[in-house]
Order: sequence, then C-alpha cells, then structure tokens
Amino acid sequence: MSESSEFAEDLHRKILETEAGRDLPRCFACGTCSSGCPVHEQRPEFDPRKIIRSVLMGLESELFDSGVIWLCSTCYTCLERCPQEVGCAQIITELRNAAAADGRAPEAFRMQMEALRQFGRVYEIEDFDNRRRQKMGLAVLDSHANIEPLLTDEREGE
Amino acid sequence: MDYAYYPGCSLESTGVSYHKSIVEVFRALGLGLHEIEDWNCCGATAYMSVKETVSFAISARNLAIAERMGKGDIVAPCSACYLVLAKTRRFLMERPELKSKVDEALAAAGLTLKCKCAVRHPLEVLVSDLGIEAIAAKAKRRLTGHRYACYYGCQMVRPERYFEEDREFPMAMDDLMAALGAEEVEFPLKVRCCGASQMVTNEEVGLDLVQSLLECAHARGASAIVTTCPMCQYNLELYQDKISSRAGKDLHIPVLYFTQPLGLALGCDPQALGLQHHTVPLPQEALILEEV
Repeated sequence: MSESSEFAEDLHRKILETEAGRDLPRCFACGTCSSGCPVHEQRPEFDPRKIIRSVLMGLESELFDSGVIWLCSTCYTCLERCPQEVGCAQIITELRNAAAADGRAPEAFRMQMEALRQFGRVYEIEDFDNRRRQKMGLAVLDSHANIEPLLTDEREGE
Repeated sequence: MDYAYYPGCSLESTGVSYHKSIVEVFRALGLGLHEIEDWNCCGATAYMSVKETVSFAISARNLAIAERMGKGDIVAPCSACYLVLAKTRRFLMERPELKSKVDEALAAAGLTLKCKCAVRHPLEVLVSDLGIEAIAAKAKRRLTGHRYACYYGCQMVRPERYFEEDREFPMAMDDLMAALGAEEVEFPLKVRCCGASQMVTNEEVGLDLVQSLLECAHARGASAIVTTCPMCQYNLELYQDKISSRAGKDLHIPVLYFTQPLGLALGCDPQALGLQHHTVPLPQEALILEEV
C-alpha cells in the first residue's frame, strides 16, 4: 500500500469513529443541508451534501486538497434543518482538526493560536483597556490568563 | 438576581460598546453581574478548528472559575462564546471520557468542575428571568419612530437548545423592542449567517453574506440593525464602505447592540452605552426620545 493511500485509509477510519462520523450513515442525501446553506448559495463549490458523501466514500484527502472545508462559517443551519439530525458543521470541525494535525490550517488560525498561548486571550489586555475597565466599575485584569496547564492535550499531539 | 459575567475577548476590543451597554443595562435593571476572575478565551474559532479537545479544556477553565465564585448562571453576550461554553458544558455532562480528561487538565490548574452553572445569553436572561413586561415597566423613555431590524444571527439560536424560541424565526428581541415603543420591522433574514470569521479567511464570501443582510434591512425601511453578537455587529458595520462601493449603492445603516436601545429606553446616558464608538453613528435626533 502506498504511503498516501495508507494516510487516506487511516484518516477515513478516524473520521468515521468520531461522534459526528458515526451519525453520517444516517444521511439519505436529500440535500436539505445544501439548499439551506448560505455559503453554498454564494459559492456552489461549497456543498454540504457533497462533503458528507465524500467522507462516506473515503475521499477526505480530496476535501483537504480543494480547501472547501475552510469555507464553512459554522452557522449550523444544516444541522437545524437536517431530517436525519446529521448536519455537516460538526463533521467539518473533525475534518479541520485532522487537516490541522497534518499541518494544513490557514495562517490566520495559526496566528490566533500563538496569541492564545501567549495571553490566554485573543488580544492582550493592556493598561489602556484596564483604565477603561475601571471607569466601567470592573476589576483590573492581568494581561495574561494562565491557560498553560490546560494545553496538555496539545502537547501530547506534538 | 446575580449572575457570573463572561465578557470574552471581543468585548474588550471591537465590542467595547456591547461591554459598556450590558454593564449599564444590568445595573439599571438592578441585576448583579460578577465578572469571572481572570477569564480566558472561550475556545472558539482557532482551537475549535485546530484541536477541539483543547478548546473544551480552556473553555472548562472559565466554567470552573465561575462555579468556584458561586454567583449563579454564566451570562455570555458574544454568541460564539455562548455557544462554545454551552456546548462544552453539555459535552462534559454527556461524555464521561471527555470529562475525566478535562478534569485532569483542570486539576493541574488547581480547579474542579461539577457543571453547576448554566451558560446563558443576556437576551434570554432578561426575557426569561425579568420578562418583557417588567422591563418595559422600568422604561423612562419611548423608542418612538425607531425602526429596528432585529438580527439574531446563528449561534445564539443554533444548535444548542437552551433558548426557548423558534430557531428559524425567533421573536424575543422584536417583542422587547416593540414593548419599548419601537416600530416593528419584518426582517426575514434575522437568523441568516453574517459570515463570522469568513471576513478574515475568505473575505469575498463574508462580503456577499453581509451585503444580502444590509440590502434586506434597507428594503424593509429599517432605521438601524440591532444585533446580539460582537462578531455580527463588527461584520455588519465595518464593511459598509466596501460593500456600498461594490454594490454601487449606499448601504450604510447604524448597527447597534440590543442593549443600546434598551439602555436608551431605561434612561441611560448614550456615552455610557458606548454609542460614540460606532463608525456609522445613530443620528443625533434619534437620541431625543419622549419621556414615558
């Protein structure tokens, strides 16, 4: 077996084992997810029904290569309307996690993670922010919230 | 009534007028807001997409600190924070394996978690715990002549089921504004996505989504759009120059937080509600309101 097909099979198995993955076989491809998707309306290449079919057929690598998984804005309309309670948003989170583990997360995500590791928040709370907070009757916040002990799972994956 | 308050990162930056107006409105209504000490990022966006288990762990830290403070349910005004915190809590209650893993991480930070505090959006808190009639009874001014397109966005109504509203056609904010004297505006796109972080990762998709919302609000004769989320507010307000020029028509319209008109009705000072921070301001005459 070639290295790439081994990667594809391994990935397929892992995705189907997730909670969202176990729901997928319930899909009967009615397309309600795609018809209600606001992103699909603007960008036909982002097609939730096709994404679900692709995963069921073991074509996750193609989804990674085309980059469509990063077009979902996680509005959950697909899940809300799905008659089989499958939806597409949660499986896309799983696909994104797998793509990121393979080093394929968009640059913007990597930058935000860096800020989170450094400050525990998306932005650093500076003196200016704290002066405003005091005027509002709020306490002064430390510029850095310590989330370090909670990142163990991340270290395991490295 | 007392609550734990989770402002989240956006309210410390782009959403500062939401921060100010929530604190002001809760004070005016006699509700206690106790900020979660040393809160951290809720775990939305980056970690959720890159490694969801880490997002649950950092999210749980906020839940644990709120529980230790013992001030009651958690009020999370940002829809993305609200969703991630609520989803984390539900997953931890439903999945013992995940819970023990997160408990281990929390123990390393000297924390424990029993998932006692519910995670709630301030709109739901005000409407359920106080009630629209009781809020309207405290109003000092009427929002006469204001025509608000009430925009709920996605993550406050979907997919968690804690807000007892029609998830395709919620009415809580419409009813609240009407009770305060505003004119009702039918806004059929009220739960359609604003594009969220697409504005950063795929700007053209985000611009298309926001343009359809702005066009709808104009077509319905709204005087402002009223939102419940800092990301929706940011997307809808800050790209109006760009969207107007690509659409070839003027699509500018003020985009407020629901706590701002509510605060005006309760007699709060417009500056204290952060109305000066907006790039498309409410016209001065809109701030002159008749007394009740």
